[in-house]
Amino acid sequence: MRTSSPLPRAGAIGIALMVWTGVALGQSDAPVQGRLAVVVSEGRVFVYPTRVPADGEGWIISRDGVRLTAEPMTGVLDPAAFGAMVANDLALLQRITARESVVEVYRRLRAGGTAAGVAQILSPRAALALGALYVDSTVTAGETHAYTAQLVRLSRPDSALRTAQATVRVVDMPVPPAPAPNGRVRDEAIALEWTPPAFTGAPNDIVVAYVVERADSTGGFARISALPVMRLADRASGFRDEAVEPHHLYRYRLRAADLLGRLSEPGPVTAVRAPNVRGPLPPEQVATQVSDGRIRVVWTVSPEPEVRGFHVERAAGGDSVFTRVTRAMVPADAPEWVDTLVSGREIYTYRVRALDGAGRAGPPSNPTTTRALDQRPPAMPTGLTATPLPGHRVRLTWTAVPDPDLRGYQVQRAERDDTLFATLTSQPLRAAVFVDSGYSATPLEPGRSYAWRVVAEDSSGNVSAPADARLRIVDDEPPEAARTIALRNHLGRDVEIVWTGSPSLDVARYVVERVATNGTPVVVASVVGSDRLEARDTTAPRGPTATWRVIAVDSAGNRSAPRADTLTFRDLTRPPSPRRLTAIRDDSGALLRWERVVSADLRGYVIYRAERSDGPRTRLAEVSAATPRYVDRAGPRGARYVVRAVDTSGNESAESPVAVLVEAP
Amino acid sequence: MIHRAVCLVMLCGGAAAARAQGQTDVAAAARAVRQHVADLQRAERELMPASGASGLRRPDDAILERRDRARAEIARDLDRLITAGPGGRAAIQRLAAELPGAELVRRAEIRAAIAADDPAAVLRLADRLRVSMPRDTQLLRWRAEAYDALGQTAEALRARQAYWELAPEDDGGWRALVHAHERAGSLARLRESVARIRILHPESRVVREQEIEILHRLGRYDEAARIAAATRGDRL
Repeated sequence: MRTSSPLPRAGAIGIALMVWTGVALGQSDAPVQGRLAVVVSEGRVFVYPTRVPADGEGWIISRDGVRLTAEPMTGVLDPAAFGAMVANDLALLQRITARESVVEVYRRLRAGGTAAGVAQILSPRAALALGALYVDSTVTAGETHAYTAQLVRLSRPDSALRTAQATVRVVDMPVPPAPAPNGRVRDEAIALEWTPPAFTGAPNDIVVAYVVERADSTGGFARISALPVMRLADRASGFRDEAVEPHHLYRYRLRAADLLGRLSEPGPVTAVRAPNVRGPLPPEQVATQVSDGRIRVVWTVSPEPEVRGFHVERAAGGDSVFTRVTRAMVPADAPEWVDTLVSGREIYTYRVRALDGAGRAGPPSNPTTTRALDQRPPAMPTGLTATPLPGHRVRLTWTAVPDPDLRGYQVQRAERDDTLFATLTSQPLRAAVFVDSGYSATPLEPGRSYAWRVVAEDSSGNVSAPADARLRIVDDEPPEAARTIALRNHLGRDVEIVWTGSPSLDVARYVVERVATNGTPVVVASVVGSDRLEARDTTAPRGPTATWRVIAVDSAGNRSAPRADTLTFRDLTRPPSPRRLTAIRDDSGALLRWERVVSADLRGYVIYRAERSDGPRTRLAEVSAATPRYVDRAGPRGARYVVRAVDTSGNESAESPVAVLVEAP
Repeated sequence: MIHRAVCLVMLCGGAAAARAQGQTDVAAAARAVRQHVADLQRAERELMPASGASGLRRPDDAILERRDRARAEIARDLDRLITAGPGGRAAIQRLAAELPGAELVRRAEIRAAIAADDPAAVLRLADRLRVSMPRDTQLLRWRAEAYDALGQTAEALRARQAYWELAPEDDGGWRALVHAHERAGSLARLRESVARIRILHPESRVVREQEIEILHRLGRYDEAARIAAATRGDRL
């Protein structure tokens, strides 16, 4: 087993980068899926296989295909050796396993399970002793490696029971800062300043902050910067040590920190002596009283007679950077100050310094923290205007509210019958404009009236009075067509049109039109309401085929696509038969004459010829209704003729009396 | 005549004897103070953290008892010196010069100056001691009384104010402050101070009572009733 020492103490591995990779490699005989945890800490790679190997098993670790372990890692097989390896971690392992003796602890962990997994992570010594950790100390910063762990039977090291892989990049450690910070006495405190190197953007340029450590003349160094001091691109970084005793000598040094919080080795040391005299002591107690938009800071008077006044310092938002907020010195006998420049419900921390007659400020008091109270609503937005946009959208614009703690605007919408407004904005808007595109999937409903409200909201959640606007969405959208249409010849008297209504809700009426063959539509009926969706066309011409169509019209006059059907409207009653038919032969042929038939829809007459009175008729021709005569140039002697009247519907009358062709006198 | 002369000789001799006896007592008391201060400093050194250790040693009962006994002995001997008159005061001054770190001796020096009705010395000594103990209320009270004796009422008022603000529940300090403000005709300012201190000590019943009292003195009974009702939880 190959290890590196010293190991991190139990439970204290600084996790720099952890990669879990599971690889499924097979079916029944193939290696099963496993997980491999890889931790990079302090330039070493800690490879944690999935579990503690059982008796007769061991882990083989490979890096980039090269085997790192000469023999499978099995862990120690003797409880006494196990106890010696875990050393001080034994107490932790006893708590994890709830066992007392080393032998019981060893057996419990060798059995695997949750306790073994926890021990593997929290105690690197136990993981090593159990054969469930390999420490690779031969890596170089900046390299990327692929690790493979294979669980094998010791009897058959060439067949893997379980395989897991992980790829890890060994990240550089932060470089110690250099040179030493520049320290000097300023305002009874020690100010440290240093110039970080310029950002290069290189992969190893990972320092983002610094930590300040301090020691007195002989003692050890301890961190004094509670928060990291950020590395700045455009100016020097600095730290102010206010907790110094007069005339004491202090030593300071820096450590660089990366984004993961890893610290570099310390940089060079600088020594600064604190000022010989101190300013007056701060007030013993500082308290605040919060009212709407104001914070009253009070403190006790100073027992030192040389105190001439006070200064108040403030930090906002939990930030530890204090800035002086009192322009003039607060008199010594009136130890209070009212902060009127507070914003919303911001958190403020105050501290007070006393000043002596020479203007020398003492150390700060203990800070007191409070949250501002803001119960004043912001001003109402004005000039709210709703402008229609294409696509049934509406743009709302208003005049911005000048409140300094304004968080944004909330836009609400209601329809005509709504009693409550629905809020459209999930977060307060910063801009004084909003485009209402309607609902999530559909735009605003055409033809419908909407009301909008815009309220201003400040950082405390106070809401202004609403600004209102209304707009009716222009209905330029035709309704849907009637679903079906049916035409029926009603006893030859009229055409009955029946349809089912449009699914659109804003249909005001239906227009029924008849379109003749020449294409000119004629309005037949206009039906209002939805109870009886039918109409009758009593003026339809009989005979020609025509098209009837139903068009839904909405309240804005938009017409739907037509729903149409075609019908040949016919008269079902025959016209009267012609009378007084005569047939006289002359030079031009057989001249037929008959008496004009009176019928409103008479189209003409059809002439038939037969050889006998009861013989079969041969249709000769059809003549118009205006000319009740016909010349049969090929009529043979003795021919018989009959004439039928025919109406526009094609109905033929009964035969006229048979006329026998006679010679002209 | 002889009898009178004998009596005079006896008286003078008695006074001298008494004086000699008193000087002996003072010298003995001063010696005892030196010895007990040394005991006290030794006990305190033994309680200090060992070199390199981060905290105090675990207190040993025997050392603590020695320290307390030494303190008691010092206090007793210093009391004897204070009541011994100018000789005792001179002895205390010598002890204070010899033992500048002995706080009890330096306080006794101030008390001796008070007993000798020497307010200027009280102020001078208290100011010197105040450098190392700026928030000591006893020093503030002594300074306030010394300022009063010197007729510096504004400074006295300020010292009493500082004393009361450090220990607002001390009735003696409050009474003295009220009388000082009454004399200065500035009770309204005291009311503002009480209102401010009530923000610093919102749970203090004593401070509320002080505010009620001062409001009564100012004739602002309705405000006093309101604070009293709020303190009791009544509904007005």
